[in-house]
Amino acid sequence: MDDNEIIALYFDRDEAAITETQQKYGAYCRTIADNILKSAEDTEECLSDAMLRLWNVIPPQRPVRLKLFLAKIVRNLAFDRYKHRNTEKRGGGELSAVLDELSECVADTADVEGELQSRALRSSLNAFVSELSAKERNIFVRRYFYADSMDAIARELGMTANSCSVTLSRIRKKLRLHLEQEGFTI
Amino acid sequence: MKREDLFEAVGDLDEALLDENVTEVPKTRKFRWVLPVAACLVLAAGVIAVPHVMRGGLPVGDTPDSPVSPVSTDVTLPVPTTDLSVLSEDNPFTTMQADKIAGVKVMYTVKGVSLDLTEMQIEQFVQHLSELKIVGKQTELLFGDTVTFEITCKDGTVHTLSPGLYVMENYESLMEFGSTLLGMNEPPVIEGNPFLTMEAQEIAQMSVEIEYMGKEELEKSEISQFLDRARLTPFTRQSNQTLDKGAYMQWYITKTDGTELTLSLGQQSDMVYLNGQGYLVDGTIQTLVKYGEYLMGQASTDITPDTFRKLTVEDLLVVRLGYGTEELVTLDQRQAAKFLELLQEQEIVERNDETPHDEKSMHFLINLKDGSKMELFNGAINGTGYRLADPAALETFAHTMLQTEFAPTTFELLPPTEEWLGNVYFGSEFPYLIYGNDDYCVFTEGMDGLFIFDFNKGEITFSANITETFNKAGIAHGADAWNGVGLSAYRENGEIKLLCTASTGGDDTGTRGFTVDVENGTLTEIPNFDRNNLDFNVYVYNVPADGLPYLFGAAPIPLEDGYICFENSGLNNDILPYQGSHLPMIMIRKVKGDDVKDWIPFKDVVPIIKSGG
Repeated sequence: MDDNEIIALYFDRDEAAITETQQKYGAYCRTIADNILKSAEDTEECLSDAMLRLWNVIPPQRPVRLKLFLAKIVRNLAFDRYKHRNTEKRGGGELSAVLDELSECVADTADVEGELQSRALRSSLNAFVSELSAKERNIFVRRYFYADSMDAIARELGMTANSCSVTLSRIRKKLRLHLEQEGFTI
Repeated sequence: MKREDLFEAVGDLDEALLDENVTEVPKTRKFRWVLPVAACLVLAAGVIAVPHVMRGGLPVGDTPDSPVSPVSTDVTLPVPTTDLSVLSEDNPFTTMQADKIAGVKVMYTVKGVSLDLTEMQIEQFVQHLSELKIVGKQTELLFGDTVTFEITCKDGTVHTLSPGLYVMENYESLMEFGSTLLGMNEPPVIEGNPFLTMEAQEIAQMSVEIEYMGKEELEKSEISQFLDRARLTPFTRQSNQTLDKGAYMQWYITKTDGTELTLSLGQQSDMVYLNGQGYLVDGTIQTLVKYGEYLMGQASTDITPDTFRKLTVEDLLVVRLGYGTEELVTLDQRQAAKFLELLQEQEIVERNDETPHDEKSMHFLINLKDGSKMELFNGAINGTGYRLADPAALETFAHTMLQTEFAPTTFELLPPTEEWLGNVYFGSEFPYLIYGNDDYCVFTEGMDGLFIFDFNKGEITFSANITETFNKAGIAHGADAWNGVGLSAYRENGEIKLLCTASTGGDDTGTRGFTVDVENGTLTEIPNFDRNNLDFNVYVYNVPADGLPYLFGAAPIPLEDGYICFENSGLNNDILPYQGSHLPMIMIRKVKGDDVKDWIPFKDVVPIIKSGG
């Protein structure tokens, strides 16, 4: 079933929409959540929450790309859960490494406050990523959107884990410079 | 701003950017043991709950309007339609035949898991049923606390079987069967290589899956081929190792007795996992890796004794070489030509599976420009039934290329032409020029090889495998330990001293200093080395295509004659002819104090150094 048909099911309030979504994107979503949470239990709960949220937001929303729309929901929910889980203890896993890497690009100052500032950050980041080469963009998205492991990215793109790491390191340095130039507190 | 803000902002990237660049959907890591299996089933349970509501079962907890029910972790149990009052006279289960059954679902609500049985499993289920004796109904229902089977017959009737509902005899094996299917039992411990005694006819169904590539079912003859290869590898149980990351390659085996076995080749090349439990293996496991890749269409299928003789250097896209589980290194064009020449001298014979394999086995990976791929593992042309009759010549060549302990210490090289420089220096990703003077330069390749090139002799006079050397010294474990690592060198009292910053996960874990003894070709660790006591800058500026230098790790190095070296990750693909997506490029600029002048492509380095600027 294609995405438009699935979305139509949501608009018809047909619960088969959930089944079809699960069937088509269940594994994809599980990978995203599991990359972040590294806990089968948390992952399942996150996926349940994601399905509920999807059910609640479609309609009124009509995603252009259901897969990515869902990916963002799963990612956000997983990250919320990760933060909640890690308020008391420091978490391990891939996301911990991903966040450590991103800390190279920012200073640990106050949170980004207000919708205006976070919108500016998103806009700046979009501009930065769009300037990357196709391969760099792919690596960046896999690592910092999907939180894929270095090994997995390297294998997928036919490079060594080491060169993948080096490339990411260079991207982070460029990102830091970019954010500085854009006036974000570094 | 906090790093979490940045991570969240990445989550809001334009979908066009995400969609455009990640064409492959990350696939779930199919096999992990109990918890993940249960996890998959939880979702399956949720999905199953919907059609169940449709066909009139009674959902527990949710109303049909609730959007939560499809993914609820609660398994909805049906109301049994079996007439309990007639059980003692007419037990419907004992006479139930597989061909009367439309479907069977096994559930365990305490864990919130369920599974629809396959046809083969239904036949096994019916066999268990025939041994079951139901003598009455339970006076106190224990409905959700036991394994329960829901049987849907082709006539539309639905029966529920559970020791919580009925008083049964001989039901233990049925419960064991159900709980095994649900992954609730501990996986049986397998000692040693289970394939040694496994016969092809014991395997009812088998498939191989490679991450991001897909899944293929094996034919009977291929199952035999698999077993032939799998038997080569010794398995040593590692009780403390379980599969906790995605596997690169998975072999799914369903035996005729219904048991299932999954062989997972994980991220570490010396580990495999049987049903999620770890086993230490040796380099012979590569034969299975290659065979799996072959089955997935990743290797040429039409290699014949004449195949190599028909090839020309122009047909080669890239040739890589490794030993056992070591990472492959890329041959430059001239080396690849030599390799092909040796290969074409070989007689190719039918494969002999008695060929010994060990961790020193050489491994060539050949990518052709037409997109096909060939594998040579210890002389065997994997997946084809052929092998090289006498791979000794290639073996020597491989040793030479990798400069292993058996190898000669010099390369036979062409004169230093521009093309040659491109090949030698750019044969792998991210080479680093770490030291240079009028007579020679020191560079690394792919963080594995350290080379010294003598400008006067026009040849490489020293090479060493850095990773291997450091691994032996116990300061790093594999390429991963070198993430973000730089190498740097300086000269002190006529010696080149090599600095290494070993790091993992982006965090420095310490700095080690090593002395390079050019005369003897050895690396010696400098005791109590402290980089903070150095009075020179060990950092290198990497120069992106826009010419803006930025700091990156450690590395070179002012040259003695007033030049400084830079390394460019390579965005100027038009400058040098290189077939990869990366074009590493080392640049040298002349410096006088802080006065930095023009960039010079690396291809011009030698003439400049030789001429003294």
